[in-house]
Amino acid sequence: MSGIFVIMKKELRRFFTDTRMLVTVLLLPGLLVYVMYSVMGDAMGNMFTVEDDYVYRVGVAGDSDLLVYMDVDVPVTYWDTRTETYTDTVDGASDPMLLLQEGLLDLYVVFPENFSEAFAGSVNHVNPPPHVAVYFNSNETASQGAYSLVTALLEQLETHFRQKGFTVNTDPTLTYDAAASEDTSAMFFSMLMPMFLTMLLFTGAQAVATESIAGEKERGTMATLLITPLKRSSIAWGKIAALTITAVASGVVTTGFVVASLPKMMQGMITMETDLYSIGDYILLGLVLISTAVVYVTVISLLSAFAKSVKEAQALVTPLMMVVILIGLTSMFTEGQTVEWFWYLVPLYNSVQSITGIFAAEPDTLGIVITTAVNLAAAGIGVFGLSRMMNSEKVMFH
Amino acid sequence: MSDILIVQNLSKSFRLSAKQQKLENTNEKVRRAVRDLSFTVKEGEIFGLLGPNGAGKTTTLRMIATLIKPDAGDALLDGASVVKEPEKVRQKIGFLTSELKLEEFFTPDYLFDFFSEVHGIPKDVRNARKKDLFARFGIDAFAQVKASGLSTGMKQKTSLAISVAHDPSVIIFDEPTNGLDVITARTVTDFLLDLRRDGKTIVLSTHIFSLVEKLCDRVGILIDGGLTACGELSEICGGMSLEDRFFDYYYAAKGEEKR
Repeated sequence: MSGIFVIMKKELRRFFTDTRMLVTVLLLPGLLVYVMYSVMGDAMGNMFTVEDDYVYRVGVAGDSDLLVYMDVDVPVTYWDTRTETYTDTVDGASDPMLLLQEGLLDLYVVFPENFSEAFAGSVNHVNPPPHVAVYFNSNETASQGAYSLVTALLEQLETHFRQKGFTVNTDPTLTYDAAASEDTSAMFFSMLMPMFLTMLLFTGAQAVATESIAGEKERGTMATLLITPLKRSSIAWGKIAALTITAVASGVVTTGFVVASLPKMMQGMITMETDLYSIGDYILLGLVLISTAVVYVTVISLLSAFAKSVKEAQALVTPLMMVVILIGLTSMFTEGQTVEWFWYLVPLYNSVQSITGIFAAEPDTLGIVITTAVNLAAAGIGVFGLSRMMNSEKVMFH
Repeated sequence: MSDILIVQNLSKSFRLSAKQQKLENTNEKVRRAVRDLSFTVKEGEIFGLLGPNGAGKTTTLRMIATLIKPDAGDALLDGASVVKEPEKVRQKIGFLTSELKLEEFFTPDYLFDFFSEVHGIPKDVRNARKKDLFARFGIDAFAQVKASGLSTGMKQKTSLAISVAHDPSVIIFDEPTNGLDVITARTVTDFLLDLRRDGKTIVLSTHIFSLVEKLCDRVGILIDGGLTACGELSEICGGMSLEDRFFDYYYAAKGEEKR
């Protein structure tokens, strides 16, 4: 047992006192994700939202008085404050499409001649409904905004004037969506976090495990270790334990950056609830993360033991990375649903399912226990294999 | 003096890859690196394995040091079998070879502590031994410098100190002065003589005649994986220089006329 701790201490010292390693493995991935998501979020936000004080330039042709003398039930006031109408500019021969393409107008609305009479006739079933044409430019954010505003307004006007026998969802004092913001956040997290966590854990494990196993072989320091009286199993367990700690640290730090960057990424599209999960949930999550990291580290170490160099080890590990990403993506399609218990017997997939359940605020405790046990058992078998490989001169000294 | 190392019919073969076959212009698929090798080393002596490159010296030492397993035969080191009790053997030996490297990230000070801990040396004993060895090799001056910043000589001195950190009874050195400057080489040879004076047993491999003449009590001449001669230096030389006697054995083993 003391041999395991000696190796663990050395490995942890190697990682946590190496500034270059700390920056590249612990800080940089998360920082990059944070910066990337923030920039992407800002860019997307700028692309799809219009400044609050922006005044839409709307060209109106035909029976434009309609919007002004509407009843108070429709947000005419809003229309007045957010739009500036240009009846003169567009009246006549100007091509509305050209005006929109050149950005001279955001929207161009054409009411037919005698619109009011035709509309009244259609309400009374005297004539077919008149057609209102709303021209816009979908490439321009402001034009999209103006289009949404005006079409919504017209639909409300149409509804109002037809005087339906009932209305739908018009009482502003009531909430009609049964989903609480907590549920929405949980659903959102349960779809995204399993993929992020498993992928980032794997990335952290890959960086340290290839370096620790293949790197030591490549540099000739593994032989120095193998000549000591330490048991091969102690070397293997010591390395796996230390690498798991570093992989979890890397995964957690990077995930922290991801979580911090999500609100920026989503740009208010979703309300982030931060107090969704209990201490118990975090303990369960910790169990799953640690057992998952052990599996990753063990598998990567086994592959690294076959490799002659870090570069070769990374090439061997790449297909496994693809598998991890693909399995991580399955959480996107299950929407937090729990699966049958036997799925928890499948390493990697069980971790994704367990994390999905935890983030959906519906943790499957039995599933998580099975996941942890299965992962630890798989890692145990892997460490046994690694010990055997360390005993093989063909593997260690080829 | 009793035999502390008994090598019994050790054999080792390596499979040659297609690339190696091409490189060496040969059709043989298996290379017999060591053939049926037997010799003994007495407690407290310096025993040298002398031979040209590719004679099987390093392979023999690696088998004795338990880094690789023999295909056949065994070696008993202070009663422990290298085949059946490799961990016991590793406890008793210090092994130094150029293929064993220091982790570049760590300092000599840390590496000495680490390998002492691996061998289960108590802290007070370790510190006293570190003080003694570091002073002897002049490591104190660079004890806190990472190995990546050390010269080849400094690294070799550090490796030497680490290899005897646990005060082993048998020390195995593969080409101990290879690639060293004259000053460091002298430090190493002086240290080996001191170790013998302290009653330690040393097994070394070399192709340098003068080193064998200076250090070894007994010598084994290894050619093409087989032991051609083994005995006390005076016995082997028979009044001739070691170099002349070596080439007698060499050409006889190769079945060639002496040039």
